Amino acid sequence: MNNKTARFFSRPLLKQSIKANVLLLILVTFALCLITTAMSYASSIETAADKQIDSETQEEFISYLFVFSTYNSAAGTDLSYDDFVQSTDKSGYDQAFQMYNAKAGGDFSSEKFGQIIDTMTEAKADINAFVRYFEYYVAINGQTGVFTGKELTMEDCISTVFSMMGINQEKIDRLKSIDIDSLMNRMYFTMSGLLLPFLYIVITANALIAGQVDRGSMAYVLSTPTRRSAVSITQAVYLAVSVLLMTAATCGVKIATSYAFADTVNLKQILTLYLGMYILLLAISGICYFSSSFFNLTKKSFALGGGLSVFFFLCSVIGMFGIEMFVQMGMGVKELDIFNKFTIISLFDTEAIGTVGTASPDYSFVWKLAVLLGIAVATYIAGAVKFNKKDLPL
Amino acid sequence: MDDIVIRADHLTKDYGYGRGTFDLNFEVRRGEIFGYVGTNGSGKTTTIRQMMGFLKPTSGSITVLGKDAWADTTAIKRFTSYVPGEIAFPDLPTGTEFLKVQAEYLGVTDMSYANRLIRDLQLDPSANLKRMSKGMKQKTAIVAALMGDRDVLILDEPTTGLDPLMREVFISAILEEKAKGKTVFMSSHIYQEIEDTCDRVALIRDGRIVDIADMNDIRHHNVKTFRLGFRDKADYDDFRAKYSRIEAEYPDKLHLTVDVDDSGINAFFSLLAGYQLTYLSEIKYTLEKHFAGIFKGVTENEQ
Repeated sequence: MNNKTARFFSRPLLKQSIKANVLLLILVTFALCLITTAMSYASSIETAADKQIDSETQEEFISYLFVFSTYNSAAGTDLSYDDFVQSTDKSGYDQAFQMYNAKAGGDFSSEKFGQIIDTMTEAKADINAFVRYFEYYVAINGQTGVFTGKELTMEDCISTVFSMMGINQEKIDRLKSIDIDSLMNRMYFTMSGLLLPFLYIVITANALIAGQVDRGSMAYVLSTPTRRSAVSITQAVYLAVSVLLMTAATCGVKIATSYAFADTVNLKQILTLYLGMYILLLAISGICYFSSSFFNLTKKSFALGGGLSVFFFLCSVIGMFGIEMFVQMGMGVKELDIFNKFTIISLFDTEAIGTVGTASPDYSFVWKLAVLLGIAVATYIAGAVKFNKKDLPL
Repeated sequence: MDDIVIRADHLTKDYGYGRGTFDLNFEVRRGEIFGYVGTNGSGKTTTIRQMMGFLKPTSGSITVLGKDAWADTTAIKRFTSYVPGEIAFPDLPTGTEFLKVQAEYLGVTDMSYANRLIRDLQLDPSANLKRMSKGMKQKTAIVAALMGDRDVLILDEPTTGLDPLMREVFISAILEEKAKGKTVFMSSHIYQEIEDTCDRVALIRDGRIVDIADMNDIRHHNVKTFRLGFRDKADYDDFRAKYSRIEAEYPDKLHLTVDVDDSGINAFFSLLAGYQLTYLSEIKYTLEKHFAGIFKGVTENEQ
């Protein structure tokens, strides 16, 4: 008979833990991967729609329209963007460009206009809107106001319309400056992306120790030559590794879908974000592991581990409405930022990590992650020590 | 080899409010079946938990095979099997699965003994663990403990939930283990099964051991108790006047309960020959009766 004692690790216990908890792990991981895929897809559409054609191209396009309109009024032709695109014979246009080039100096040509149109089409720019804009521009510019006698300009027209709708220029400028990617990261990594892993951690950490002590089934493990230290280490390994697998799978899906949907992928940034997420989840799992090891009753273990996790999560959600980006958007109040001081989730600094892989990276996220890692190590060790010393009602 | 397998030495676990176990002293010898009797909440399970190293004694100690049950608990587990008082299985689908995992914990590779136990107890281990009846669960727990084939069995109310037939099977299994030279520590609140199996029995009440009885003394008690029925009142009165050790009187039925020393048995029957009896029956001296007597003594002392 094999009479070895398990001091630090118990294979049968690991097998048992896997059998009992792997289903939840798979479900949560699967859901996270689905969400990640959807997010990658959404952000690829978002970036495509958001893609700004550089102002040079815009100006050039407008100047071509200007050439058309001047030529039309001088020669009585009706050159237009629509006509240019539809007609196969570009000789009329070539003629107009040659004349204009000779008169005003420039290098307008049908080929170049074709290239500009291609660039704009590729960027999914609404060309018709530019054409309409030009029409308004021509119609308004040069006119004077009936009351003021002042010259009317297109820019003034637009800002007047907005201010009538209650939107001032400042707000528009701020909205333009918001980095959608950074906002999405913040929303995903400190809120929506955490809910399921938190749920998994609270339930699993509880089931691994307190649940079995409370029910009494731990007796079947501890009545065999399995040390308590083997139990606490095995369960800690299961918890930490299962969270790692979950995060790694999600990260893998994120990278794969990013390459599939987007043109440029900031691999370094994605990896850092998911590493940060793992360290945050490790800290949360450490807290839940400690609470599960400390208490003999499931309800108490749930109250501490689950309660703290929910508290941190809620503070992160409320605190989100206090961050600069939200305040800028007019969707938040600066005072709510104080909630970010109550949650360890804010030690996962997605904004700073967002600068990784850019020209000026902000490495202030590193010490914050180190603090989270410290919390994780301390709570895991404290939990294991407590479990080894306490009275068990088995 | 030391013949003491389990030794409690002033073992105290004080939970406060008078709950726990206090100053327990007992020894379990190699090869014997030691019964541990008490009502619910008397401290049986607390004693066993300390023996298993689940609870740290407040003071005193308990050793198993010479090793401290708290400090050296893992070393002890190589020689002990345990049936917990409360049956709650781990989160595994079937009994078979559970027994397989348990065998792995125990380092059991040969399942033939386990299979024999399964057959003897008529257990169907393929059933869903959660849907098992209380008796089925108990049988599964017993198989899980006994299959380790360890030298010392620690059983906390092992027959809870078993029907009388299965209890018989269990008792014979325990006696078989004893025949193999194993030591058994078994708690129960059912006197009958303790009487049928144990060599010595400790009685615990309110966390204190009140008495440790040798079952041989009880089985072969040297004072016998008889109940006598008399035909008429004259005989009844006459006998009552002549015999000194009358325990109880039932004048309307003309019945008497009397104690007789083994040494005085012939004199007793000679005396009886002079009377017209309607019946005579022996009231067996049982463990319950023995402890009831001790309880009576304890309560009287307290008053």
